[in-house]
Amino acid sequence: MNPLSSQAPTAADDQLGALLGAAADAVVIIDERGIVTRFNAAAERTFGYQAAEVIGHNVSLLMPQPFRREHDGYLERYHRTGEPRIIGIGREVVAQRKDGSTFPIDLSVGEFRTGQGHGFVGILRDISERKRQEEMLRQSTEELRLIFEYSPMAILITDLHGGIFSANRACCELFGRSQQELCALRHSDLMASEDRKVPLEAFERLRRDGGSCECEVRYLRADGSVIHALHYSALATDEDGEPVMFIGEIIDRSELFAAIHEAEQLRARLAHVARIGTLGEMVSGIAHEVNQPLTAIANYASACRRLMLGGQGQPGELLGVLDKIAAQAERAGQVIRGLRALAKRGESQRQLLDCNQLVADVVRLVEFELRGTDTQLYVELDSGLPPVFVDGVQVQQVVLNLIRNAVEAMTDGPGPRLVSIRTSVLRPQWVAIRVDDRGPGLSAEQQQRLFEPFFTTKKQGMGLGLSICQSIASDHGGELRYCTNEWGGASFTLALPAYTDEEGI
Amino acid sequence: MRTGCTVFVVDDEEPICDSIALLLRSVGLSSRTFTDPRRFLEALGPGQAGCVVLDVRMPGMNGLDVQRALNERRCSMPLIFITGHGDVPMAVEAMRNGAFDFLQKPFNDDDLIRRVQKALEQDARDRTRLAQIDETRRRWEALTAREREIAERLVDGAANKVIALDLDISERTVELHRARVMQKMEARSFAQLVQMVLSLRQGPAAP
Repeated sequence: MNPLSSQAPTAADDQLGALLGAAADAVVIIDERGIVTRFNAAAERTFGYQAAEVIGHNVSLLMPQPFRREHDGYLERYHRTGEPRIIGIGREVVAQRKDGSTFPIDLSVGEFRTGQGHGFVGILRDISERKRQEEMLRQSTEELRLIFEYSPMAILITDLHGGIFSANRACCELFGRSQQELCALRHSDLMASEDRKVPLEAFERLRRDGGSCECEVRYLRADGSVIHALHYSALATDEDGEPVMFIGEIIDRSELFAAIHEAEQLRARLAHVARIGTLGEMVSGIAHEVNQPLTAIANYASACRRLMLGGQGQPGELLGVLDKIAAQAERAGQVIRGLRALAKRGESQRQLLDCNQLVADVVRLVEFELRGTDTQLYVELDSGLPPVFVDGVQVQQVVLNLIRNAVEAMTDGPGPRLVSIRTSVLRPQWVAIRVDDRGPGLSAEQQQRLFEPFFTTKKQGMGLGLSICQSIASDHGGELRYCTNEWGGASFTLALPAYTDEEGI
Repeated sequence: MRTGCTVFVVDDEEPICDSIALLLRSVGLSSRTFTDPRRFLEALGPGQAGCVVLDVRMPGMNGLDVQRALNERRCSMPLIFITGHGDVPMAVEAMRNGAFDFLQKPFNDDDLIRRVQKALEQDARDRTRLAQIDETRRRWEALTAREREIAERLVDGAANKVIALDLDISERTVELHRARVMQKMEARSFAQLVQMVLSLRQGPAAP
C-alpha cells in the first residue's frame, strides 16, 4: 500500500479518495520532499488549480514568497532536527492561489509514516471571511470607542456600585479631571453632597428593576464650581440579563439654568419697575393724602403759637388742639407706611394674611385717587374667608392693577362709573378676589392676548400689568381669569389657594 | 376788626377746615367752615362781605364748579384756592376765571393769613367802589332825560355851542343844564363828572 502513489489505486486508496473528496476543508498531501501527492476537490476550489496541475509539484507552489523559497528549508530542518514547528500545532499562514492572489488560512499538519517513507497531510481552511469579520468587529469596536471618546456628551460608565470604569473626553473636560482621576472615584463623589440622595435611590431602583432613569443633579467640578445637570442612566446587562454596569449621560444645563435664573430676576425687576410705575401714577393721589394731614398740622401748630403769644389760648383748648395735631401726624404716618410697603423690593415674603384686609388697604389707596371723580367703588367683603399664605404686597399689586384697569376702562364711557370689588370663598379651599367694571369689556382678540407681555390697549402703558399679575397669581399657586360680566364689562377674578394646616407635609 | 365780614372755608376735609378756622381765629378773623360745597352755596346770602378759601379738589363738586356757581350769582367775594400737589392746571384755570390767589398745600400760616387779609381788603375796596357806583347811579337816575343827554354829550367832549346847535337850543340853556347836572351829581369839577359817568359806563349795569 502506498498512499503516496498516484497510480494503481487500491481499495484503501478509494476510501481515502472518497474521504478527501467529501472533506469540506482543503486537504493536500505531500511526501517527505514536499512533492504534492494528493490534492482534493476542496483544495481545487480554494486554490483554483486542478489536482493534475499540482500533483507532482513542490507544495511551495501554493505559497507566496518568502515562504515558497523557504519551504524546502523548513522540511530539511525538520528532517535534521526532528523538531516540529507546525506539525500537531497548527497555525495561521498565508497561501497563494493560482491567479497569484494570497489569502489567510488556518493550517494544521499531520505526519505519517509508511514502509516506503513518510509524508505530511495538510488540512487548510480559507479564513479570509473570518478575518474580514474580525476586522469589521475590530473596526466597529474602534468606531464605538471613537464615538464614546469624542462624543460631545459627557458619558460616564460605572460598575453596579457606582465605581467609575470609564469616562469620555467630554466628561473629563466637564469635571476638569483626568480619566485616571475619575476612575478612582465613585459617581456619587462627583455630586454635591446634598443632591446625592435622589440619584442614589434611582440607581438602586435601576439595578433592581432595569430600564433607565433621569434626574436633576448638581455636580461639582475639581475646582469646586457647580454644574447644574440633567443625568440619564441606563442599566446594561449581559446575555443572561444579569446587570453589568450603568451607562450615564450628563447634560450640562448650567447655561439654561443661568438663563432661567436671569429670566426670573428680570421678571422680579420688571415687577418692581411696574410697581414703582404704578406708584408714580399714584403720586398725586398719595401726595394729596399726605398733604392733608401736614396742612392741618401746620395750621394747628401755627394757630397754637399765635394764640399763646397773644395770651388768648386756654390750656384746655390748646391741649385739644395738640391732640388733633397728634391724630393728624398719625394719619400721615399711616399713608407713608402704606407707601413704603408698596415700594419695598426684595424677596417675596409670604405670611398668613386676610384677603379682606389686603383688599381694604388697596381700596383706601384707590379712594384717594378717585377723590374728585365720579367713579365709585362698591366693596363687598365675605367675612368667612379662610386665611391665605401669600406675599401681601404682591397680591395688593394685583388688586390695585385690576381696580386701576377697571377705572380706566370706564373713563370714556357714558357711565355709570362703578367698580365692584368682592371677596368670596370660591369652591372649598380657594379664596377669590373679583373686580368688575361697567366698561365695554374686551373683544375676543383682546381676551386671547390679555396676558401677553407688552400687549396693551392703552395709549400709554407698557402692557405689562396683567402679565405680571398673572405671574404673581401662578407664583402663589393661584390663577387670574377673565370673563365678561352681566353688564358687558370686564370681570377679573384672582383665585388663591386657602391656607390649610396640612400644607407642606 | 371789620364787622359782618366772614372768611368762608370750604374743604371736604374736616381737619383742614377746623385748623384753618383756628388759625384765622388766632389773628381775630371770624370764619365759617363747610365740608360740603353745596351747603356753602345754600348758606351764602346775597351781598355777603368777606372772602372764600376753597379747596380745588373735592368729591362731587370741585372748586372750579363752586367758582362758576359764585360767578353766576355775581358774588364778588375774592376766592383763594388751596391746591394739592399736581393740581396746578386747575389752579391756572381758576386764576383765569378770576380767582384772587391760590396757595399750595401745605402752606405757611403767614402766607394764608396775609392772603386772606389782602382778599378782605380787596373785598372792602370792591364794596366801597360798588357803593360809590350805586350812589352815582342813584344821582344819575335823578337827572331829567334832557340833563342826561347833555351830560353824555359833554363827557364825550362836545362844546356847548355844538350841543346847542344839535339840540336846537340856545347856548345859554346848555350852560344852565350843565350847572344843574354838576349840582345834582355833586361833582366838584367837570373832570370829576367825567369820571363818574365813565364809572357808570364801565361798572355793572352801565348807563
